[in-house]
Amino acid sequence: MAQLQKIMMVEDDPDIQVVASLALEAVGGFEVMVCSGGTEALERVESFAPDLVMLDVMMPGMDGPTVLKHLRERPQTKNLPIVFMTAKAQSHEIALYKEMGALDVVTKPFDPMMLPQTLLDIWNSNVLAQSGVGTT
Amino acid sequence: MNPISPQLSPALQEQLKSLRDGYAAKLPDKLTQIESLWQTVSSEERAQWPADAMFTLHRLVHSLAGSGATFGFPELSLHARRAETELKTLAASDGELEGAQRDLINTALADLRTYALCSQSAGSVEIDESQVTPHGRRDLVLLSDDPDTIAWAGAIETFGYKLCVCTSPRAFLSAMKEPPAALIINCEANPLEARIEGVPLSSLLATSRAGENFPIIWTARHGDLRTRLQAVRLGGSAFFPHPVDVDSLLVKLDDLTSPQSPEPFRVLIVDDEPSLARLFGLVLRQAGMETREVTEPLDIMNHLVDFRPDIILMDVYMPGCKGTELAAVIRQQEAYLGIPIVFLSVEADIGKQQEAMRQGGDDFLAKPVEPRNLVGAISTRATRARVLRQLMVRDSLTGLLNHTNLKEQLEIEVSRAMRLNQNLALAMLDLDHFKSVNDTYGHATGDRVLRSLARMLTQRLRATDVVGRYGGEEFAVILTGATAQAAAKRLDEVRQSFAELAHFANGQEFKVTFSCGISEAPPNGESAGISEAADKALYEAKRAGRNRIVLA
Repeated sequence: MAQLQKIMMVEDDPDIQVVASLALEAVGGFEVMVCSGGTEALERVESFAPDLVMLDVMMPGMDGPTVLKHLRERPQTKNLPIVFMTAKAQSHEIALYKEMGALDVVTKPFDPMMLPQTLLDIWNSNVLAQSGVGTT
Repeated sequence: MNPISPQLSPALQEQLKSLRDGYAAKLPDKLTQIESLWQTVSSEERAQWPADAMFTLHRLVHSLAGSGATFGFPELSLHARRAETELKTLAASDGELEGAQRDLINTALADLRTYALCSQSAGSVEIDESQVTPHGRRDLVLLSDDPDTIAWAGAIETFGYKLCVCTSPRAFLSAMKEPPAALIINCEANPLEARIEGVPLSSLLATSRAGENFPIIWTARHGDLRTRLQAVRLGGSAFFPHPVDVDSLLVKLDDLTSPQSPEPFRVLIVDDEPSLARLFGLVLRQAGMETREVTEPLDIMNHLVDFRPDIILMDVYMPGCKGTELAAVIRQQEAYLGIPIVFLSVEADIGKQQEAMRQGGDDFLAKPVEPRNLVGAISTRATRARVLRQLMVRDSLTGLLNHTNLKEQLEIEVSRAMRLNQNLALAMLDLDHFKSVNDTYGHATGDRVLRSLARMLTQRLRATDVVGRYGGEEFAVILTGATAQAAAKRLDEVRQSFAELAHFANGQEFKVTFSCGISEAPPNGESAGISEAADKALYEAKRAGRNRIVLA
């Protein structure tokens, strides 16, 4: 069963970049790559080969949903688990993002110390869901 | 896959703290950027907005909302979210900015700015926590949007107040870490529109007032109703238009910062039926009054002297003497002419009720009395009686007891001290060379000196001491329960402080001293003897060179 180890974070706000990657590395023990925008993420995602991508929804240039669309179009990343980060946490919006193919949505602002656990929970329930339907 | 424990190592905590500090340090610049964008958007028609201005503004506010709580500033997220919700609607529409929308965004951005200032001053090194000492009851905070106009700040300090003058939001918030005895706000603009370094006064106030209760005094350029109303809405207890009349301001300050909560009303209940007297007493005490129940009507004079009631509640029909007769006896003594007497009776005959009133009663309550009515009837009358008494017995310049009432009070206190076998001292004070103060600086300045001594005496002595203005520049203090030596010690402290107090007039500084004679109540209880003795001692003090205290 796959372990969550490598996380790519796509986030334009440098403050969030720093605190979230600190938490994910120091508390969660994950390997983290930070990208400041969608274009950069799309350039680096294949070589880094993350287990999971955290995507900020609202970014200048390319927004989160667009990045997701591009990832889904590529063979190597079309099944890559995606978690959106957004402040717009209304339930119909969350449903919309999941429909787009996101695993889940992390609501901003988040407690940085709880972030690793939140991601692990999302990861685990995804793994369970997959094993439940019997896929290998 | 063990759950991750949020146990943080010290090193990690340190890192987080420095991230948090860094985030807080960058906040002012971020807000400035947001504010300047908002300035553009809110002052121009939509067609004139620079490309991307709306988008950038929305994104910046959005980012604050999304990050504040992450860095430990949850309120930042909340305020930003308020602004963001409106900005989002605005960005999604093609319409112009509406008034209500503008107001909502304005207040949210102002709250953001205020909150940022708070969070910064809370964590920054510029404010040394050890320097923040609890405010005493003479410590005031003065907030002003115009540092140059506070010419009267010095005058306030002269009269014993300590003033912390703040002309920036940051200084203000730091000064307000402890609630002051009173807050004075000096503003050039209207209270609701006034800003200090761009931060609205109203939001500064809201931030600093959380849960605290202290009086706020406003001074503003205009004294029109609109301005006064705004001040009241912002929690103002008093208002002074420019130029500020410092004397009135000081009187108001003394009022507002005086530590004495209003004394409970003292009600003397005279009823020959002990169970009824107890019942009335119980009802009134539950309403916070002090009561004394007298079931022996002929004892009333003693109780009048040592209970000093504000109001008398008396039954009309009692054995031995009727309530109306007793009222007439009480009224024949000048000292008790003003004390309200309320009769209680089953009497339903209006004619007999009026007869009772004519004998000196002020009101008539028919038994059985509803407790609520009883409390209401007593407290309204007692309140008015106290105000009237205040006006009758106080010296209008200093607010101290006037000559007549001081002498009266002296008689009362001497006989009380005798009966209770207590000490009593009388101090007579006279300002030294006061005529030359009046001649040199004018009578207005002389009056100010008189008031400053009155203020100092009431502040420095105990609440139970009776202070009066005997006449001219002469004052008297009755110190209950004190020996002459103890009284001399206390007054000498006042003498020293007063001699050091600087007075100002015509740009000049000068000091004034007083001489004082002190006597003790003689064994025979004659109050005339005690004042003569104190007078003689005062004369001795003058003769020996002034600025000193002499015991009789």
